[in-house]
Amino acid sequence: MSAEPAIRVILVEDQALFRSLLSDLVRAEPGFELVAAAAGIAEARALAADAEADVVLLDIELPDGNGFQFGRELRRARPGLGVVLLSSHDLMELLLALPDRERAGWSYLSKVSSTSRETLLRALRVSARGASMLDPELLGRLRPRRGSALAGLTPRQLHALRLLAEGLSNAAIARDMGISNHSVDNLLNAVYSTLGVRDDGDLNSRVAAALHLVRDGAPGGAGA
Amino acid sequence: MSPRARSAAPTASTPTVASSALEARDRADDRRVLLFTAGVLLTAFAIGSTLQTIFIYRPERVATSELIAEAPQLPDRLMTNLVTVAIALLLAAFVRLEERRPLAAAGAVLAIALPVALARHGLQLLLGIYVAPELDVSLVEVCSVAVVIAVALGLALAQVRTRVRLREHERAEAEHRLRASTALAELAAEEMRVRREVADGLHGTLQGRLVLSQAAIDAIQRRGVEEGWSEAALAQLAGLRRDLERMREHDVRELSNLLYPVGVDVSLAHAIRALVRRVPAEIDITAEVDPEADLALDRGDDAVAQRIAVVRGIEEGITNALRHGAATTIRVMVGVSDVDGAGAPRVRATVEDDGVGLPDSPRWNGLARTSERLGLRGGRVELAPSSLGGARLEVEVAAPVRS
Repeated sequence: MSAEPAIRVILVEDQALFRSLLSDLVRAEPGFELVAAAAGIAEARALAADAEADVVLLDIELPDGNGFQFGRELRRARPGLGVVLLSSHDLMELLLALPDRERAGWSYLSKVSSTSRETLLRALRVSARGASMLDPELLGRLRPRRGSALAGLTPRQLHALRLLAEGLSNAAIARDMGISNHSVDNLLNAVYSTLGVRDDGDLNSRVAAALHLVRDGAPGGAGA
Repeated sequence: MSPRARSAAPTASTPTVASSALEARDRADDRRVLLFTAGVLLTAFAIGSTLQTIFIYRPERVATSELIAEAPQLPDRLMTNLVTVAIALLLAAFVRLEERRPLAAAGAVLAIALPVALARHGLQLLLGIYVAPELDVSLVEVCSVAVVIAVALGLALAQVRTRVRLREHERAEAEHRLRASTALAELAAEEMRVRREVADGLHGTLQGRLVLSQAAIDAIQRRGVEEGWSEAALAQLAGLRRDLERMREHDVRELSNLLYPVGVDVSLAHAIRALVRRVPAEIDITAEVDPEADLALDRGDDAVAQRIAVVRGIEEGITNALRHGAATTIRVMVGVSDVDGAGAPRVRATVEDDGVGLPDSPRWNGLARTSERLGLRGGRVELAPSSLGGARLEVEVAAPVRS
């Protein structure tokens, strides 16, 4: 029985210290392979041309352009590539700029939240398999906007939606909330219904629900 | 005697292919105008004088039967006059009359008019229109025709000169406008570049250093806890970290945003979403951006500056709705308004709120700045009552014409 193939990662980060730390982290982790590390878009574009990769870990504010735009460029050439965005700020609304068909596989992490090694590796895994994960601490700060569909969720539904947006599977949400898988299904169906997201069992319905949280959640609340 | 090369503004540099082609087109155009004007005048005179000679200016009243008897002369006389016109026009074209300086042109007109008038009279003698006329009759015939030709060519030349002056004036105006517009665009591009660089510096370098400083304080705090430092010292460190956090998350971000709004380099829709997300959760705010509006401002050297102008206008509307209007509901709509006569779409953004409405005496200083900024880009801003009960701010800019 052969082992799972390693997740191949391209890293684009302009700050040398961060780049070095992130490179070491990915290299040291079993099941991951760092195939390229670049300080900017031009360098990354050249390196990525020859490198097969499953996911790109991408800083948004780069000296020679916008990392988000570069991520889209990479995705156009490689539709299966996962993208994990990194930023010093809450710029999660960037993901709202993606057309529906491109939304799968994008994750977002803050450099300055309590993002841990585990969170980062989880985001790389989640994005590599085409799912999405948003920064748990930033999600915790979001408060439903008055008048939005998000404000119609109960606290439990909102909590389940936050966990979903963190990239957790239904089983993991069930464990976190101490309820059965069936209850999670019911809870998320109620969330989809309130938000007007069609539950077609597709990965995109989870992504769409998570993006509702970004669109109608105002940042700046107390951390969860 | 070579024709004068016409050039409104001779330059030291070698004329480009485009300017040579333009000059050639101008010369051809001038010649057409000269020949057409002179041709119309002379032909009208040729026909008129033929008819007058036979039917009107008779020494005595004649019977209709006599007029009919002289009618066979009509084709000969008409042909003579038309041949005269053709020769005059050919000569005018040959000597490039329209390209000559005024004195040379006057000489050329005389040099054309006299020989052509003589040739006409010769033709008349040849065709038997005149049979052994007296000298004074021939002199009157030649001089009067020479004068007519000179006057027609003179009027045609005056017409050409007027057109040339108008054309040169229009081109000078257009060049002036182009220079001004290019200078403005270069200035705006340079401003954008500097703003972007400073904003990137704030976002990247300064933010990064602050993050590292926070991490260093965290490490000192942990050491302090392990080593049992005093509560006061630890509280001081915690306060310092909070200050750094506030500076990084709020002050630096706001400053950066002032220079270069978040997301404006991605798209108009994204910049507006980022703006709307910053509004406190207690405010019911929605933003709808028509993809056509996004598309209208998605390219061109000036696109980012245009987006910034729209985003600043919307920001002004939201800020004032909250600050002066005490609004709790705000609606932002961005779309493309009617295409104007020039075929350029106009991006129109409206910010409506349910606040207290328009102030009795406007105190919106920002509105004047917004108006000024938009005015420079051919846009406008308008404040009016809203159907939601508060104020309605409308911002409009002209989008670049898409090919």
